Amino acid sequence: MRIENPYIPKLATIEKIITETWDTKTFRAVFKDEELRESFTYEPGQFQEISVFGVGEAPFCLTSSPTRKGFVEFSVKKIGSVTSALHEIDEGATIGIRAPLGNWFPYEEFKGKDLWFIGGGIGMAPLRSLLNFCLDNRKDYGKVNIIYGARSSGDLCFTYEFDEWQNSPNTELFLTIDKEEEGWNKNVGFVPAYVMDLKPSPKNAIAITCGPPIMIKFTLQNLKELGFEDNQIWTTLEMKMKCGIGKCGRCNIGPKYVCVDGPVFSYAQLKELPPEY
Amino acid sequence: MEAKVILKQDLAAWIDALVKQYEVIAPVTEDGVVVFRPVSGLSEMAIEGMVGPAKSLREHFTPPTETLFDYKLEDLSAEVIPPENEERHRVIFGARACDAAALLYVDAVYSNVEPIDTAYFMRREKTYLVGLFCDKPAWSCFCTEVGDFLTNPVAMDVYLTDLGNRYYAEPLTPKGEELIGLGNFRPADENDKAANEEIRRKALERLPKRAEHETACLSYDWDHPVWIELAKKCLSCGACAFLCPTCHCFDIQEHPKLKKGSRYRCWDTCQFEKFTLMASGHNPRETRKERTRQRVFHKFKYSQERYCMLGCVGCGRCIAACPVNIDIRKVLEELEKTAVAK
Amino acid sequence: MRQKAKELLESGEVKVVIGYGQGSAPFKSTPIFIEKPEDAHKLIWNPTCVNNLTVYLRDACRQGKAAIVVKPCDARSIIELIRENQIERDDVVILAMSCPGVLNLDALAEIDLADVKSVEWHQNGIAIKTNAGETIIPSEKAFASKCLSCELAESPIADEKFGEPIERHPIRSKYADIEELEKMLPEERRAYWARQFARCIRCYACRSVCPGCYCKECFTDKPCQLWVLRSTDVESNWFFHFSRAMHTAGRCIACGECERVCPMGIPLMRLNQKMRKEVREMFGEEAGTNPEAPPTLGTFDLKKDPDPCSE
Repeated sequence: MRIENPYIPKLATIEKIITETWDTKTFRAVFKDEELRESFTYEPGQFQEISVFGVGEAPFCLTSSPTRKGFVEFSVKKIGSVTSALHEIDEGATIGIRAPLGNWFPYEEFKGKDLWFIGGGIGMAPLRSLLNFCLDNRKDYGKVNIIYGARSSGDLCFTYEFDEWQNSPNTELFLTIDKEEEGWNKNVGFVPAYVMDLKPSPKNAIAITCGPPIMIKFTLQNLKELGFEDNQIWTTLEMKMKCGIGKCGRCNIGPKYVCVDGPVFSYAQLKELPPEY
Repeated sequence: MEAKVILKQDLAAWIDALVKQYEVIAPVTEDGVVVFRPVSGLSEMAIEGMVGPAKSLREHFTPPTETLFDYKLEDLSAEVIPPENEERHRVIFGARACDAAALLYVDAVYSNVEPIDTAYFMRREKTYLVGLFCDKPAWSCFCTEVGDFLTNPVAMDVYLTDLGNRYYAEPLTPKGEELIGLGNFRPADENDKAANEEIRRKALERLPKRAEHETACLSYDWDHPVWIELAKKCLSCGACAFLCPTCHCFDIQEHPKLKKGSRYRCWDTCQFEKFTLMASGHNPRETRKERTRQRVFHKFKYSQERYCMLGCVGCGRCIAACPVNIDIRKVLEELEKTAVAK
Repeated sequence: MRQKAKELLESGEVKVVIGYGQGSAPFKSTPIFIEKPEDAHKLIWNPTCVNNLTVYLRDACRQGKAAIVVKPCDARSIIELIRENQIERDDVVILAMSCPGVLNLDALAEIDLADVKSVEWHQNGIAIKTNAGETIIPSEKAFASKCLSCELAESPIADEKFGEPIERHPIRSKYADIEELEKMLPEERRAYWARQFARCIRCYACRSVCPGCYCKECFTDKPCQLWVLRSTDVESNWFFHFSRAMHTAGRCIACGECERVCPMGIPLMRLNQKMRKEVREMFGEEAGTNPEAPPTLGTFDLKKDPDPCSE
């Protein structure tokens, strides 16, 4: 039996803050405890509970790849009390972290397959962890395709990594925005429609998607139409969470807890759950 | 383990002996309401002819509000201070069989995945239960529909039955024998055993028979009309959940006090609209239809799928407390009707 | 009443009739929502009809015209809802019952509830039929405490009245419960309420049944925790209940629902009665009497009520 109190966060320092868009920032944090900093490891798709002392705690996916060690990253859209507080802190500030939590993408199963990352807006954050993981283990995977869309070019995150992504061997980046914009020479249109234009082949392929619920809904439909099987489609769910360790009951969907049985689910697994997400 | 008997005139001395070694928590009547709280002797207790306690034992294992840790803030750093462990061992005296059985369910929830809930299990390990057979079931009781723990108690150390001028005591664990050892007990004779059997038989006669809620609820109906009916009258209060001995959901909140503060957890329920409301505004269980369904299915379906047990011990508190007379037995009946029809 | 409900539904005048149905035990009723004329027979009227159904009225009226079965005391809630612009008078058909008083469930403490067959009014109180026979519980014990001080012979607002007006002889002062509290020393009173609020589990049943508690978002549920903590310490519970009493001051019609549903037996009506008494003394009126009058605490006349701070 573990004696440690599972609700106590580990202290970490905000080392770097990247302003992604007008409402989104990415934070890089390092644990204060040196030993933990060295030993800490996680899997792509897992999440963490971030504490801003005096405000509260909220779950965020680990957007960094475990292949890049010594720090954790998380992207935050300013939307509630904890996210707003995070947007106000400076580099050097202390936060609390409980991590890693939840399950992860079965990247072993994805080996040797073509990957289609399909992200919308801030939904790219959890995909980025797996994406960079795969790019750092490039030889294990087939062609890597990234479809990434946002409302406008100004809403795209991780733009500073686009070059790295595009220039990786056998990797292609497809960008799209919802509406025409001056100077935009990439695709215009919603992500699900762009998926239909690009017609990914389901043959020996895996699709990993995350974004706003409406985008996921139509992307799933379209992938099915293109012949993707339920177990070829993976996503990561968002649900209100508090404890992150399967106790508080909040993220309960049917017999599952998103915080421990998820957040990563295949479409086949999702269909087994009551439609309450 | 051998059953014993204690005369009621010796009860006070036994309680006194327990109080010397343990914190004793027992039912007391306060402003007409029976609540479990620490006592210093028998005179404070409402054991004799006890009517149903308002609350279950839940608050003594997961308090309605519990500090998870305190913290201090300095310019750019913070210090986290874990709470002190409660050291004293406790005896809960007069526990109901249903409330004790509920602990097994909460045990499962809080230990199902690592890490376990340490604060809860620390209290569990340090607490011994002296149960009391319930010979006056309330109109809302249906424990016998969901299990046989009324006569085959679980999670208890001693089980008492009121035999009029004496208590029949079954020790169920070595710890129970030890507790009995502190009182003036004598071995139970054939007379005592017969009297004990008779009281149990009479109580069982009054209570409903074991029902097949397990199977009936597994073939469940997601869009059953009963959910719409419930949603119309349910007022989304938390009386059912907060009185329920198996309900275990909580919220985590911050209590900031300038340069310091604490994080605490407090009871929460899927019946409250904000339970699943996300910061984005999306709410997967937005209406009362979804929320009432969640509560019933969580207790009778999801609990079985995840923990292989029912999430209800039939204490009936939700039935008695519901301001609009939502009766979970009737809900189950409705569900079972269509389950049979299918 | 059933006939009228049936007619209202048949003619399409109302979409729903909110009334009482048979509950899950003979001494329990439950709110029902009749939408089909053929279901009108499910409506019941007996001493178990304790709920104040007007708590459902705002939502119902939003869907269309609704009929509602009310006791004279509950009808005052409708007056308040109209007065506070929560519903339109024309959106509701009030089916007003004559009410001798409703059952105080505690009165059945000595009766084997599993054995109860029916609960009916009796000239001397309430008649409980059991397998063993009939027991008459005298009025002063059988009825809810609010009924013992009831002065309403009939509903103050109605479209249809059922039953004869009832001659009232209150056997109890409206403010009987707060008299002893008022006599206490401040520290005794503080200790009294501290003990009560220590029991509160914050299930919010009191708030949920209150027809006057219709805020879209209660101050306790604000994500910003500056007002009141979710924690169940005495101070936070105290703050919650006192704030609620203040928010319903001048509006509470004393239906007693909050106290009835409190699973912890907190005598919440003592707070409300005190507020009602104060409002009556200061403003000379009681909530739930005049749908035309502006909200009591919404009236402030500088000439009549000079600001004591400026003097």
